[in-house]
Amino acid sequence: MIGLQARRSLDRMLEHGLRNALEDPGTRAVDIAPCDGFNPGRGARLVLLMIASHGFRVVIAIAFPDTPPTHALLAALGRLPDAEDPAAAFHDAIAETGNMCCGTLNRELGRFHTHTGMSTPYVIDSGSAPHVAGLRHGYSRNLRIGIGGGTWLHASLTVDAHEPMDFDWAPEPSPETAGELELF
Amino acid sequence: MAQILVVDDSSTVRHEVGGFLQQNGLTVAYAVDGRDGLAKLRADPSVRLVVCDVNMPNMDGLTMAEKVRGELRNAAVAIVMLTTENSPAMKERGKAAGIKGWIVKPFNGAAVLGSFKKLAGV
Repeated sequence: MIGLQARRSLDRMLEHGLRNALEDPGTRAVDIAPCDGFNPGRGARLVLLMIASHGFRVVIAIAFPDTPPTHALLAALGRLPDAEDPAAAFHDAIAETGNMCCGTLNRELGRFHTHTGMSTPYVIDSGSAPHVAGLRHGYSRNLRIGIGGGTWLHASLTVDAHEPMDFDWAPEPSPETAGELELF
Repeated sequence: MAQILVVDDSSTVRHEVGGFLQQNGLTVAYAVDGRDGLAKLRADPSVRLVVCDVNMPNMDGLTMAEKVRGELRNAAVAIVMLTTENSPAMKERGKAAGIKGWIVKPFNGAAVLGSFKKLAGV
């Protein structure tokens, strides 16, 4: 039910979303490569987000190891301030990073499907990762993400369609309206 | 007494946005969701500008905006949404609730500071 064009488009959207959430052009390289399975290992935290419409459901899981390089990455992104409760700050920083990535997919899917809705992020332990693969799906994609040579993340995209799904999407060359105030 | 209320369930965003505004001389209060935002506005009518996320637990930002105009009968406060959402339907709902503007994340403080100050009457 999920056409080849749609699968490739979803792949490109996920990469685009990850880069939007993680990349800092010129200072931090983000290398994204497909991998077999979703095996982030122990000690990571999973951020889960969903996008749903009447015709499909998309689940995105991003695994963040709770390690010094990940903390350094989040601090460099300006999402991990010094806080009284570092665990809560880490939780919120990875949740917002997942939110930025999924928000990109939600916006782009909205160009083809009206009435999509996006969840708020859920953060769970990486011990739950095997259940992501167990979700009913018509298409899935797993990625390994290397950032600046020192941080490794994993991401999983799972799509279940209730009706035929096909569209062709490519990133626009300069969608630089983000961050600007649109006055009404 | 605050000039600007930042409403977001993410402490990361509250810190980023509120910290930037405070560094630029504005007084800021915080709320963790729409329900909390409504309570903070009820308690502090001096707030002139609300910067508000859309997707939040307990009460979303658009529902909060509708209740500010309805339940609180506060037509004076300016509301700007700061969100990953960009759907025309949501924007139309926001316009109907009298919001003043829409920003797609990420937050770019330098790009919006002048407008925020104007909306906050500073």
